Amino acid sequence: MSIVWLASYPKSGNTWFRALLTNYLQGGPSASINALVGAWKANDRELFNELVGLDSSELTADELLRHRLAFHALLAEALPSPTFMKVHEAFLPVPAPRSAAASPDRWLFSGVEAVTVYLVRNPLDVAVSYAHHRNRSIDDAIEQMNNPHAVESGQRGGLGCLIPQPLTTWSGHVSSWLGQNELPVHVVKYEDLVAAPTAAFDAALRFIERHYPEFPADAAAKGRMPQNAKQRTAALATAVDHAAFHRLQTQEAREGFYEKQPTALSFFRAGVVGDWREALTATQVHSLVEAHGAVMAQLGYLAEAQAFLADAGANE
Amino acid sequence: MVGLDGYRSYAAFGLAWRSCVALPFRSRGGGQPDVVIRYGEVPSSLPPAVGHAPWQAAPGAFLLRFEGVAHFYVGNGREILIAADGGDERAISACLIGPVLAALLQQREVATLHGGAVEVRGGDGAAVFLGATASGKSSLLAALVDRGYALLADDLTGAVLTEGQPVILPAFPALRLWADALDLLGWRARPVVRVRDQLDKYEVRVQRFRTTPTRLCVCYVLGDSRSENVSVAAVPSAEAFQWVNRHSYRRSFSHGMKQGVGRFLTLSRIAKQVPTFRVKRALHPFRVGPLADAVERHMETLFAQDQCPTQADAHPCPSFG
Repeated sequence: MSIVWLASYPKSGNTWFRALLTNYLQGGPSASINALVGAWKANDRELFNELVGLDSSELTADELLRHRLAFHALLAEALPSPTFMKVHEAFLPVPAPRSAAASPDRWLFSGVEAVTVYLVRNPLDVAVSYAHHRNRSIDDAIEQMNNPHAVESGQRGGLGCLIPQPLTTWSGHVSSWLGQNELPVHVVKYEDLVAAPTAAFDAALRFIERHYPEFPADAAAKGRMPQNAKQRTAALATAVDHAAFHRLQTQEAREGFYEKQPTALSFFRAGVVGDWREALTATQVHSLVEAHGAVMAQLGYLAEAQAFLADAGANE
Repeated sequence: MVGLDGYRSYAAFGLAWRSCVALPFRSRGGGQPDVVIRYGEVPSSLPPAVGHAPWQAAPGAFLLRFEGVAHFYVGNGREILIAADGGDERAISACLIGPVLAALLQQREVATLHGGAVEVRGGDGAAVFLGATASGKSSLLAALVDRGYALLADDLTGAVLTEGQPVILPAFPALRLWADALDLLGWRARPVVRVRDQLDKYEVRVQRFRTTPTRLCVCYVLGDSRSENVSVAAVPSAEAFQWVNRHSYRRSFSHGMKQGVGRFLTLSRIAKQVPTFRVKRALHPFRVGPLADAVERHMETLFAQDQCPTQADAHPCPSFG
């Protein structure tokens, strides 16, 4: 009856975290990237249509949000607890129907018993990765990150197999999740996952275990869980090794990855920190700093960007 | 045409309808209706109501509460009651011809399939195209209609057994297409009606429409491929039921109404008697022309080999209890 939301702006390490989690729960040989825990259930149109009953393609954006509350509750009811679900939406308020009298505030992700692991990444690196993911220019990715009405999987004039995910801006997204008081949140910085994957992943696991002592829900996985600190260290190290970025890339090249955007060349691109220094122009960095500087400062991303801009200014 | 009492008379799915809401069904003369759709008092719940879904089901009864639009009650396959909740007629109609209609058909033991159908083989049979939402079913149907095939159903297809044979019931002469599909098909200049004000989805009436129940001759299941080429592969008979069942339209409704027997028998017969194929095509870029070409070529080969059951003539409308 409980959900662990794996929430993030796109291209912030969500899938990599799911690869770590899947490998940790499975133990043994490397997990398939096409069977990662926490897949797109909360945005699956077919599941929505079948469980909610209404046709998601004939609902307005507000109606979709309203019925997502029931959908999440139905999913939580049907799946073992706690269940993991990847989401890219901002922490959104749910508008009441016109016909309803004044009703209390409702939030898209707080209608069910849940906690959140929120993954966040330097927006300068997100811009580079997001451009690749969308197979569009970096300027286009930055425009999307600065757009308060941005929607992922929100095909204009058409329909996708996923329910559209309203993102708001990059900083709007981060603020919505970190500023809300409805759900406990554990923040995982992408840069920490790269620098010290075992420690960053272990901290997230401990957060989940603290809230859900019954974790993991699956009995077989429960049987495989480490019984002492030594076993835990070994299990974490194995998961980190199996989910190493180059292994994920190799798997994708060999088997394909069903979650990849059809337009993208690959999903697992580089997975490095600081790629933006080579890929972004000073104008592009300036645009992101101007739009998101305050939140970048909170997360420790601003100083490096400002130093880059100062250097660029000095060299002009 | 609207009667003096504000009701319209329609024919669809082998049934006579009398409705206070405009529907895209074919008009018919008067006479006793099989189904009446009217505004009225809708129960707030069907005991024992459990769960969070906006719908509830019990034997012979179905309730759907679409907050901000309308609440719907479907009783015994004969009556649909509507209590408006702020929605306009188009929003109510859109819901009526989707999940509400599916519930009513299921109450009549009609198997509801998520897909569309056209007449094939010069009127001798029907081909059904199943697939998930956004798999290109309606675009393919539109392309086939452009090539001279008569439409039987779009998105929600009703199937029954007549003399032991799976038969597709004619739905209504309209397709529902998104703006990008209209562009793809070159249908932008055609008269269209927006399904709902806020959506870029349109209803397009079609002239070529089969009005009689038609024996199901071949079944295609649409899916994605990484390749740009269209491929067609036979589904092993042992897996056919699983594929057809997976593409049932709102099968959970019939479970709730405890009316799955007719559905099960029909799906079993389809799986046993009707050749079923998986059609894979690239989602991006989605090209409807090559998809329709491949399906047409495949049907030609299939029918030339005489692999489909034939139908001397249209079957009479199935009778419902």
